[in-house]
Amino acid sequence: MEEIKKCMRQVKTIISANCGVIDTAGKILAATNEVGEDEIDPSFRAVVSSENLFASTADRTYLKVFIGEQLKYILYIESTDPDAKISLQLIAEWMKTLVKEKGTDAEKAIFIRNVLLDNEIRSEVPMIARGYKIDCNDPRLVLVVRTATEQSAEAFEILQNLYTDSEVATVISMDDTTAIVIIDALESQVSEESRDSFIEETSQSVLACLTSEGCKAKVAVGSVVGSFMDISKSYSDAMTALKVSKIFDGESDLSRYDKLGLGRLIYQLPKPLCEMFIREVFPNEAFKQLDEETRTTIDTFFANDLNGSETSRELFVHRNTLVYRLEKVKTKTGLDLRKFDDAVLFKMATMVRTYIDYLNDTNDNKIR
Amino acid sequence: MASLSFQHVYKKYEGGVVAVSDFNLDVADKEFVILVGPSGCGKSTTLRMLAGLEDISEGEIYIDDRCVNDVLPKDRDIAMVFQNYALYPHMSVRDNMAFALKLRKMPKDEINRRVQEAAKILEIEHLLDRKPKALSGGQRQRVALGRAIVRDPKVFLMDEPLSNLDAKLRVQMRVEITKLHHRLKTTFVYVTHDQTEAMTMGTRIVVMKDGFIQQVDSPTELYDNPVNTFVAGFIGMPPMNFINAVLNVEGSDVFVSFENVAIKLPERYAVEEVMERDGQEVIFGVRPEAITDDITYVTDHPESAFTADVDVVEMLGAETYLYVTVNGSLPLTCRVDPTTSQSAVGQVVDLAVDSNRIHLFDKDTEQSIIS
Ligand SMILES: Nc1ncnc2c1ncn2[C@@H]1O[C@H](COP(=O)(O)OP(=O)(O)OP(=O)(O)O)[C@@H](O)[C@H]1O
Ligand SMILES: [Mg+2]
Repeated sequence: MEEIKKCMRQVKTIISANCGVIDTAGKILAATNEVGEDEIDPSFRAVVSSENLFASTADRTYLKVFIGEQLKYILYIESTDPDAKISLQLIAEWMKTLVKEKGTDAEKAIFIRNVLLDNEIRSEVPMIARGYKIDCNDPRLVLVVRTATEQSAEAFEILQNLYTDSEVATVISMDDTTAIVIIDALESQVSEESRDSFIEETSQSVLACLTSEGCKAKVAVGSVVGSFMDISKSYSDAMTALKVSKIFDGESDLSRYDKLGLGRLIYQLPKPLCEMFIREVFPNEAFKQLDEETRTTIDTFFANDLNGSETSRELFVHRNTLVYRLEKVKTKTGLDLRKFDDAVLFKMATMVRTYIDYLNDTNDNKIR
Repeated sequence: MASLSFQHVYKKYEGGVVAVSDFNLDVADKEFVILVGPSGCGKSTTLRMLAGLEDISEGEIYIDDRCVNDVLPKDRDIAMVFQNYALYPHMSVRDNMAFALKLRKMPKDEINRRVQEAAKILEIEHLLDRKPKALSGGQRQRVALGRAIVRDPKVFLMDEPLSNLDAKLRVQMRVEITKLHHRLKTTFVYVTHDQTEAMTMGTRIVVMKDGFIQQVDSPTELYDNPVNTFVAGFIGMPPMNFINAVLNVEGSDVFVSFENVAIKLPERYAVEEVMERDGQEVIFGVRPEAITDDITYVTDHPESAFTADVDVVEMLGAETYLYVTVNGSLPLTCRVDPTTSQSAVGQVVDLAVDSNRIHLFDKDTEQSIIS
């Protein structure tokens, strides 16, 4: 559909007479002057029932367009000059190639989706890829973009517009909430630093692009892989990032597999082990005894790398108030958060707790 | 151009966090409003609800008298600039700026005209063919602004757009954004957690805490007449001194006493709201610059004079901070004039409070007692 509209827009710049495309139900799909679009063409029946390829009315010439054996479209031009037939034939050929390419685009998407899901025979991937003009050798980075169902079509369109050059990135729709962006990551190979900034810039720009177009999205980033052959690894890493950050950092719109840290480790632990750990670190449910204010204090203290002055400044409390609150935590939990080891233990325990809560909420009780 | 209205707006996130509570605000057409407050107070959430990126849990938001609760984000005619201005790295500056317009299938001529015009306003015409990588931080920020300007929106929303820049550039871009507002004559809503930024840029400032609006006022009003201790402490650097004190009424005179000090308040405090608190505890607020060590002033104002030990003297050139202790226990910060100050560390110094510039707050509610 989009292709046909685009084609008509281009025809308009070349041919001065108005032209249009009608489908086999008689509906005008696109017209160069955009008049009558979506309406039924009045002469449609007469044209279809005629034996000939061409048909004319008082002011229009029509041409039936077959793809294979099948009548697919009817073209018209608002002219009855002898040249009108030539114009129609040229447009018909042009349209056929466009529609055909559309077909291979869809096949290409299916192929890429299969590679992402590891459903292709590995040794066959390079050859098929070559057929679709995909360069197998460059490193790649996979981004998973999650939106609400009602925004997914819009998000997909925005992303396709963002990446019009397939040498930069390919955008695939995975399901009704997920789009996948496969990015050429050659640029990330220069150094460790360049990889980090490549991942950051790319993912932030995708998120910013969607947000500024009014699409609320979560973006998850996989790891950089050596070639197109390995995109399934990058994809599954991105999916892990999406899940893990949902558990441990529900507010964040962007998650990077290489920045998951402790969460990635805890996510692998079996539930009984988690529960045992909690019983040992926080006997008597000590954690639950900490009130909201204390928890916020601890979060801020950690976010400021255990820096007391920064923390009290951010919380607008006196330094002594902070010390008092931390002392209170020490009495209740036995952990002195100003000490590195205790802070680590506390941090892990809170994350393990969050994980147990998640497992309980989702009834995801399977032992990994 | 558009006016905005928030009416009893709430945001409750899944999991129970109430990020914004009973938010009421009217913004006039072409106004520059700033939302300010500490981390987590609900600034971004408020902005995101206005933009349509978050659902509104309760209440209504109006843009130009049209309730936008159910209007799609893309139909709200709003442009946003975020902290992470994230340019599209594979596109030229020109294409970065044109992107949103191309997406809307705007004719090429119109796109070019708008990009050119925005580039001119931002003085980045010579950068249009560069890629973002080849730009400085300030230039990137301009391109990000350009992407918003070309849309010609009714309202600009900016969420901490300068916080990724270094201090010097930030100061410069503040001025630029203020100028931009004058030039575009459009409604701006600007979010920052930096009170200095808010005070220097905003014509009207909304101070938030824990999802609640604390006060909406001009910078001078916020500074001179804060409604509660939170606003008083949040606005102004170094922050206001808060002193636990007792009110005493003697005839028609009102005193505040703390430590070994009693300060007589000016006549305007001889009103019922104050007099009825005779003998009660209050929070006495004094900004650092309302305490002076100027000998002449101190001698002329014995009714508000006291002594203190000087712990630290911080000389900053245009002003000097004294960190002192009263009666061996109460720490105070004073901002004094370096050309007259004689104070040195270890000394006992004579100080006086400018009693016309003091604040009284209720001990329990922390609200200002008289305004
Ligand atoms: N998606 C979310 N899900 C649940 N809670 C959230 C979500 N986003 C924000 N919050 C919570 O809502 C509150 C307000 O957050 P918000 O981001 O609006 O604050 P802010 O004022 O912009 O802070 P900052 O200065 O840090 O940007 C915080 O307590 C935050 O943890
Ligand atoms: Mg924010």
